[in-house]
Parts: sequence; C-alpha cells; structure tokens
Amino acid sequence: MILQVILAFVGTVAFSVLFGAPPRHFLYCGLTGAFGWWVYLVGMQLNGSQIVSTFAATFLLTALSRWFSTIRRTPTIVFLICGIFALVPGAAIYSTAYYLFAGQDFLVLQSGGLALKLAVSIALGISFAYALPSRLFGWKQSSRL
Amino acid sequence: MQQKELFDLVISLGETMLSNGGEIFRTNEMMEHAARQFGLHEFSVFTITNGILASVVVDGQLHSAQVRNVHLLPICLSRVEAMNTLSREIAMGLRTPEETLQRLEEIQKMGLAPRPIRVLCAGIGSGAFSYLVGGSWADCFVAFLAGSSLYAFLSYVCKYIFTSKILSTILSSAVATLVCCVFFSFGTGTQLDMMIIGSIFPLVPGVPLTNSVRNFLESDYLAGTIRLVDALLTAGYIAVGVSSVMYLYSLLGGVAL
Repeated sequence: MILQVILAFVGTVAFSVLFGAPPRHFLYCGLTGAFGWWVYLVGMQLNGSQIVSTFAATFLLTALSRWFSTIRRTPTIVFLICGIFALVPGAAIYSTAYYLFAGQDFLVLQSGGLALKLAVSIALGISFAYALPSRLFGWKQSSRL
Repeated sequence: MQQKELFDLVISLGETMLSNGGEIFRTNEMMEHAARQFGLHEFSVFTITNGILASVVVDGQLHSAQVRNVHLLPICLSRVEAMNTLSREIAMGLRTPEETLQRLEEIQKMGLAPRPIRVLCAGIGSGAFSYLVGGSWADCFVAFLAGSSLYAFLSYVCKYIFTSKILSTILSSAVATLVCCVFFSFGTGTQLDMMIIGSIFPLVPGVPLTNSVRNFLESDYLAGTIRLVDALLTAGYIAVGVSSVMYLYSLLGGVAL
C-alpha cells in the first residue's frame, strides 16, 4: 500500500507538470494526489465499494486542497485538478468506448454506467467540500478561492 | 482608455481565464470585478465552456454587446493562478486598466514546461498510473515507454502535421497501442490492457468528464453538455485508435492479443 501511495505521488507530480502547475506547488499537488489515493485504498479495504471510496477520497482531498490553498495563497483548482487525476474514471471511460467498438453491448452498459457513477461521486465530493464554511480553512471572510 | 477599449480588456481577461482552465464562476467573477472597478455600467455576462457573451452601457446611452468564441486550450494552471492574483488586485483597486493590459500580455506569454520534460513526465505518469490500475512492474515499464512516445508524437508530429483534434487523438493513441503490442508480443509485460490504459492516460478525458458533471451540479447545463459531448467524442477517438491497431496487429502478426 505504501508503494501505491508513493506511485500516486509520483504520477500526480508528473501530471501537474503537464497541466502547467507552478513548480513551487509541485510538492503540495503530489501530497494531495497521494492523500486522495490513500483514502481511496483505505475505503476499498473497509467497505469494498468503489463509488463510496471515491466519494470519500474526493471529499477529503478537496478539503485538503482548500486548506493548502489558504496556506499557499493559490486558487484551490491548482491542487484539485492535479490531485483528482488519480481518481478520475479514465480506465472506465476507455473501456466503455473500447467495448462499443468491439461490439460487446452488455459490457458497454456496465462500464459506461460505472464511469458515470464515478464521475457523479467525484463531482458530489467536490461540491460538498466546497460547501463547507471557509472559516474552517482559515479565511477571515467568506471567499471562494 | 476609452470605454470601448475597457470593454475589450474585460472580455480579454475573461477569455484568458476561461481558455486556460478557469471555472465559469471564476471567469464571471473576474469580469464583474474588473467592469465595476474600471467604471463600466450595467455590465452583464453569460459564459459557457467555449464562449462569452457580454453587454455593457457605453458612454451612458448605448448598449454595446460582444460575442467571443473561446478555444479550448490545454489546461495551464500557472496562467490560471496568475490571472486569479490579477483578479484580486483589480478587485482591491490596485491596478489601473493600463497596468492590467500589460500584465495580461505578460501572462499570455507564460508557457508550459519545455517539451522534452513534458514528454518524460507523460511517461512517468503513465507508468505510475498503469501500476495503480493493477499492472505489474513490467507493464509499468512498457507504459512508461508507450506514454512517452504518445506524448512525443502528439507534441512533435501532430503539432505541425495533423493539427485537427480527431486525427491527432486517433493517431497518437494508435502509436501508444503499437508500442504496447510490440513489447507484449516479444514477451514483456503481463496484461496488455493495463499497459494500454496506463499509456493513454495523458489523453483520456477524466478531468473534463468530472468538470462536466460539476457544471451540471452548479446548474450550468449548457456548459456541462458541451464538455460532456467533448469528453465522449475524445474517448471515442481514443478507442478508434486503440482498437484499429489491435485489430490490424492481430491480422498481420497472427498473435492472439
């Protein structure tokens, strides 16, 4: 598991270079990604549901990004986009499209449904964490960074 | 500056923010702050994923409207960060329109990391994510090579020859799949699909799909639909590239993949 978390860190930093994140934030982007993946792995061990674990991971990861954004004085989106990259349903989107062209209609529905459910749980996690009061993260007044 | 130039400036601020990956609420907020600080009256704006519609009263009597078609560029977070800082400074009244224009031009010149570094990073990311989705170390290594060749093809060949999005996505995912197939038929790697999923990770529209659902939840239905269609089409192009190479390879080599 430690190896997986380390690789999530490495992968997140690599993709934050591709997304053009400022180099001084690389460490924090990587930490966000590794933390999200760690929560996901723990969730998978506890209840085994991919949807619930993804939701929990995204919720905590977004809260962490908001906290980082106050201490690093940067919009949350910098940490958020890099951090959720390990969780986005890339594999499910790909298999949906692949099965569509391979003519395996039942599998299309299955993996397409999974991709959609994962995307919805990620988006819900982000929205819920954005709805937390900003004073929790150290802001004096309400502001949406 | 005249009011028309100020209006142009405000729209350009929004355009830069939106096309580099800023969210819609962030873009709108920036334009509204700037319009208020620069003394434009009755400014109202409607933003979708790839366009900005805005109107304002110019010189106290005439409504002026602008429609701007915004191209979807690759996300560049350092520009978003710089634009966000600029937006704060404008809102606090620290920047005059002239300074804002100058700073905007500086921000538009900021770029991504040099290409060789990005190619290397695409490879490292592909390898790491191929391990995370369940590949072995050998799969991880092949995904590293295939991911770097995908990004190298995308940024060195497609940038000059195949500029359309359809062709560049299909061809670069085909290149990555070809690399994976060749290594697999020589006995390197254990699971072909894990290698392919890892190596096409730089292309797969995971972040656009998530952003699309976020737009729906924030009741920006039009923006969400545009992003959703874009994400589905991109996934389709990737699948065309991958599956045609796998089909041709099994025909030519007779290898059961």
